[in-house]
Amino acid sequence: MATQTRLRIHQSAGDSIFKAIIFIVLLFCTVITLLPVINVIFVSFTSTSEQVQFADSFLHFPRVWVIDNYRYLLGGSQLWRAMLISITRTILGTVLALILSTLTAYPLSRLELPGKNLIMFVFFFTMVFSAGTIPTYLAVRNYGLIDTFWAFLLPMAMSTYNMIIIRTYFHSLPHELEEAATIDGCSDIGVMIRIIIPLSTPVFASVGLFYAVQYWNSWFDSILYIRSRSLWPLQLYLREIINTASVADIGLDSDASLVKPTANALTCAMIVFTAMPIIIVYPFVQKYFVKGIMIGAVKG
Amino acid sequence: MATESLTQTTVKKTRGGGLFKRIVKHRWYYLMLIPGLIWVFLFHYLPISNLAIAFQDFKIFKGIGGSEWVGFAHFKTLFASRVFYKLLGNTVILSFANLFIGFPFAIILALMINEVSHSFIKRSVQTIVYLPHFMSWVVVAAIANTVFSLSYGAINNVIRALGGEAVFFLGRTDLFRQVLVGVNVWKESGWNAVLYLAALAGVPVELYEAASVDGASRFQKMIHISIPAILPTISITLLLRIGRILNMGFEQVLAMYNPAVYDVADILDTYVYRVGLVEQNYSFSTAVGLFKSVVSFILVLGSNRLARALGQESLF
Repeated sequence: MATQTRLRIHQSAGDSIFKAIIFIVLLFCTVITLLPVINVIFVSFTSTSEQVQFADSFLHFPRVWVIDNYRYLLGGSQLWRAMLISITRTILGTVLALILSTLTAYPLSRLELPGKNLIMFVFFFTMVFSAGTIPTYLAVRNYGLIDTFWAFLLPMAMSTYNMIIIRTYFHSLPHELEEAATIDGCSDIGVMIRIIIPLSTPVFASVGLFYAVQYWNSWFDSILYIRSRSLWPLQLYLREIINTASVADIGLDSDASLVKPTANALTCAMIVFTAMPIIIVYPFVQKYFVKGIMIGAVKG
Repeated sequence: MATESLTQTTVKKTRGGGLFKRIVKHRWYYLMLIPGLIWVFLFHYLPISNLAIAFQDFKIFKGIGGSEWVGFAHFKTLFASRVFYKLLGNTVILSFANLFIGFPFAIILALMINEVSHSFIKRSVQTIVYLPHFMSWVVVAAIANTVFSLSYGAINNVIRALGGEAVFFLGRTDLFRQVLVGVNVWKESGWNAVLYLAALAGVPVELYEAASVDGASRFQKMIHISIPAILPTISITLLLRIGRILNMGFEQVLAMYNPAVYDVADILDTYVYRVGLVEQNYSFSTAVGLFKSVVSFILVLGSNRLARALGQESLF
């Protein structure tokens, strides 16, 4: 009896040390993840004079929170237009991609469809073999999409991976529902519109968010296909700011009377402006992302 | 016996005769597939046919029909050039560095998060470590600048405050790869832990309870229950990652590198982009891209087959 109690105490001591180590390491991980982001937010709200004064301090908490950096950055019309383009492409792209993926996924989720496997292979193959940057660019160029808004939408209008997630979800719905509806006189389309689609809102939420993030974050396709600055999305302006670190070079028509922010402050304000929608929305929709990847992982 | 074979032939007959009927019956399904098929044809299969320019001296104003065919000339130049081996080396080194450091890190992170019993803390940690995955590589590259930059980076600010000399992290060939790997771990580890966490959530509680009764410590439970539980997920993920070894890191490198570090950071994909689109040497860069596509195709198929042989669920 006595030895047993001692054993238990000994174990719980070991367990507490184990727990403490894990707690410290995880705390460290979260701090490392957040620090650079918090630093960016702090700098973006610090005045130029304060930045010069505290140039050598780390994670300087602004004495006075100012929006001068944002005023300079957003004084011209370019970034607002870029924001509008990013938002428009995200909304239109997500809707288009969801429609296209659902239209494709639904027939392919029907077991009895003749030729289903062949068509499935046509899509699968694109996941393992890609034509590469240049041949795709030449095709998009041939279609006359270069420097048009369509170049933002069409080339990435569907991802086979996301289509398969939707298909897997359709598959997982109980077959009896469909049979019952068919007996009641529902057609193929009727079953899809009245039964399957209303039941599939969770997967549309997940995949829709995947697409939205993909469209919002996409930048390499804009480098490839977009020439005019008037069509640039936010991501390209941010990239230009990192590359040149000055506003003059990216052609902002800001108010000349404003103090020009430091390169650091400008980068930080632009990061916040570009990543803001994701950082604000993300905590509320995180569970849908996790759900989506789970459906995909069950039968990828 | 006789009746059985009779029913079989009848079944076969109705099937054979019914194929056309079944197609007609499901005509709406085929109609629905048309937009997707047109899209995949326009943006995947037509570009694949454009790969022909790898065997041409392609001139954009002449088109594929009018350009001169040169056979394997570009590949000969490619395999004879030192640049190619450097690119291949950089690609493989960077991918394996990311794999060796990032891959175990995600597993350890998942195991640790799984040990947290307080659900609010657990959820908060998850939310925070997943976050960087949802930022674009341009945003992450910009954040990396605010951390590593020579003139205003946070780390160099600290070094200067302590009286040291600032380090040019983003411009030194002996440091840039470490920065790339570190930033990649920072961005993706949390999200890469998701699958392991799901596998861990599926472990029956009874297993842990039984182990507790037998006097196992938390650490022992982690080693003997949790790790074996995620072993299948680990092996499949590892295989699929190895299959994609040539496809990793493009957006990150393109967003973060600069001419000073081309020597260690230029990978096949970034080279294709520069030579193809910036210098407009379409044929040669397509040859490099085709080489990469074919090798990674073989790798992906091989790793999938291996995954299936190991009895795991594979990509197909």
